[in-house]
Amino acid sequence: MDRGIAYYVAVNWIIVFFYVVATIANVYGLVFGNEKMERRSFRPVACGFVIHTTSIILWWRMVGHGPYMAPSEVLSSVSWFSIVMFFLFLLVYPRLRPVSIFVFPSAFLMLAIANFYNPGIRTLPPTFGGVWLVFHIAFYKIALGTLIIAVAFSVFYLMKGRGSQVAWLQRLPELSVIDLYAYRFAGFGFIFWAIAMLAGSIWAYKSWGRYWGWDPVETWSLITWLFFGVYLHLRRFFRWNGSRAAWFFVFCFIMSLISYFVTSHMGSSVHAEYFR
Amino acid sequence: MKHIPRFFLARNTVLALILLALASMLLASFIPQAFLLGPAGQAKWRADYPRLAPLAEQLGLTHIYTHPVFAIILFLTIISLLFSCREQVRLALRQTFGDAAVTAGQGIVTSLGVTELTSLLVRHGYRRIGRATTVRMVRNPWGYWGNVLFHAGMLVVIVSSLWIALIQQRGSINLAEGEVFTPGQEWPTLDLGLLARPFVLDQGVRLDRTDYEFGPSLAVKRVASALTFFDGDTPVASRTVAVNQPLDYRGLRIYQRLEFGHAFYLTVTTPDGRRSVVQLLLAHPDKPDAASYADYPDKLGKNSVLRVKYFADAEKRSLNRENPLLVLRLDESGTERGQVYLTPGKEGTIAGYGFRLEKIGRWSGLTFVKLSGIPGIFVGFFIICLGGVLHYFTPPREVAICSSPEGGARVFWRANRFAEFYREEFESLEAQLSGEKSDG
Repeated sequence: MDRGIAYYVAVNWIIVFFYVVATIANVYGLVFGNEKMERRSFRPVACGFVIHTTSIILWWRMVGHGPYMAPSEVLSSVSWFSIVMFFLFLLVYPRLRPVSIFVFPSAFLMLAIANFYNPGIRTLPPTFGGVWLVFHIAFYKIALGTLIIAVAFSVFYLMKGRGSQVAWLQRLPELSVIDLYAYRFAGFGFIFWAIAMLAGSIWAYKSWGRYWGWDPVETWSLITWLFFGVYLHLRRFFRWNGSRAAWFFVFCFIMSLISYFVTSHMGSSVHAEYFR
Repeated sequence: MKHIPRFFLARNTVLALILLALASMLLASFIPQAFLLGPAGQAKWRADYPRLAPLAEQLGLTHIYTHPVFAIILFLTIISLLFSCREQVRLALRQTFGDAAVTAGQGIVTSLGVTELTSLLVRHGYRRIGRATTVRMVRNPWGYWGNVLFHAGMLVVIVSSLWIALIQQRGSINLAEGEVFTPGQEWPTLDLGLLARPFVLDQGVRLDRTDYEFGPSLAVKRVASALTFFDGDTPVASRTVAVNQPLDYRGLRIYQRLEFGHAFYLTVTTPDGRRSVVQLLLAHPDKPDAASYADYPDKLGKNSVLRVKYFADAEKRSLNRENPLLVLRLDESGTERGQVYLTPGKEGTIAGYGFRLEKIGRWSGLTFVKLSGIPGIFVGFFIICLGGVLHYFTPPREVAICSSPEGGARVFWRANRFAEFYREEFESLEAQLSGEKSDG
């Protein structure tokens, strides 16, 4: 088993290597306008992604549960989902391509941080079972992957909106388009977050006989969702846009990170078993 | 009377309500809530924050979710959502079935006739709406209903939650094997809604057996209890409940809690010769070499505390061996008077008290829930998600076709939301219509 863990960690470092190579090529390609290099940066990411997928599947088989117990598993799977969501949305929205400058480094950073945690094998508590738990966790990761895209556009807006004449910023779509993409992906993230909460409430009802318990993790998840709701409300009914909206979305994104990665550590939460 | 709906529909009112709900939740997450802490936790919090705690309690900040102000926020939110739903339905009906086509801008001039254009657009997923002279065609007309569903879903969820909070009956017990919980018996832990009647079981319930299993890393893999239900003294049904496999029985939902352990039955003889049988329910230890502890200040009279610990396996080798060792310690006025180690059938004495471990069994925690309204919560949640999906993923696109007296037609295209995302769709349509330049 120890050898299995050692292989798992080693493979994860190999994936980090591929993602780092992809990030360097991607940043170089985008910043210096080298289209060929930017296109080629997708190759190491694809290689890394295939190995990453295999690594997650093998680890799943080895520990007997999905990647949602140990911090290393959680970070690795969020990293994987951020790549998946980026490529899936890229198929539908080709103008998403420059977001890779945000997604690739996020993926390798999360996976590298995951490798610093002890990947020891945790047994799933009996309450952590069922298909709704899988949906619950998967949709939070999908939401986070989507929100990374939205925050990338918000940051693009803030950078380009300063009037900087940096060439690569000028190659990004017009400000109004960037702003709209940030808005739209925030909406997608908002919906995925809602679905994750729904699945969680069904799971909680099956496991503990209550659909909502104002547990710290649940409460922070709802607070985050309401912040996204405020953002969308401000955009739609108060015509918020531009820098103001972008800054507010960056704040909402930070809230989502706190909600996802920090509140799970609270000992008083029923979710405390998770992410310990 | 129009000012009332106008007030509740005003964007400022809606924003204020969301912010008030947010502020309540933020406060509740920083100030520990009484129902989450329990009595011991509350006492500790009071001791840790001697200045803040009384003030928070006086202002009701330790029970925000049952505070009248929070109820008012919810009530106002419900009213606002009701008006909003009504408005959204009107708007969606008008948009889905109305004839009025939007003909802003110059449009695309094409030589194609209305019939040909209609067929072309049908192939692109557009549907004709109404029969007006200016033809109106819409792609994804269900997208108009996204907001309706989103708001209606929130309404259903909030109303269902309030209903459950009012009528729910939830009682928890710890039962030892062979023990019966009878109808009308007092619940050790009871959670009743504000309008709920006293929670009395129709039938008695006996715990026949508790099974549990530990995994290789000593984590609990499974906990299950076999129950028998009694009508009077007559057993009427036997069922099993397990963690994550709740039992539905005669309108009740029974949950197996992740709390279990060994029940110890002691015969205690006092120094003056009185005998009594004492039952001790101790939580199962986490490891073979670790004990589980409990203090009983009320079992042996004033100033005496019976401190108890037990190992699941007397040899401290495995959690799966049924070989518990009970250790009793008697403290009087804060001074230890002695200890005894007991296995079944063994006895010992401390300070004149005789202790004999008669037998051991297992116990487990069960929760009984009786409520209605849960489907409302889940259906409401599904409606919210469906509404959101329709709103954000399928924004309607509209085409208006005005036939020209000189032949051909002028076509106007617009997206209900996020038009920039569908620029390619518009451009492809424009190319196919082989018309002149348009601003769309």
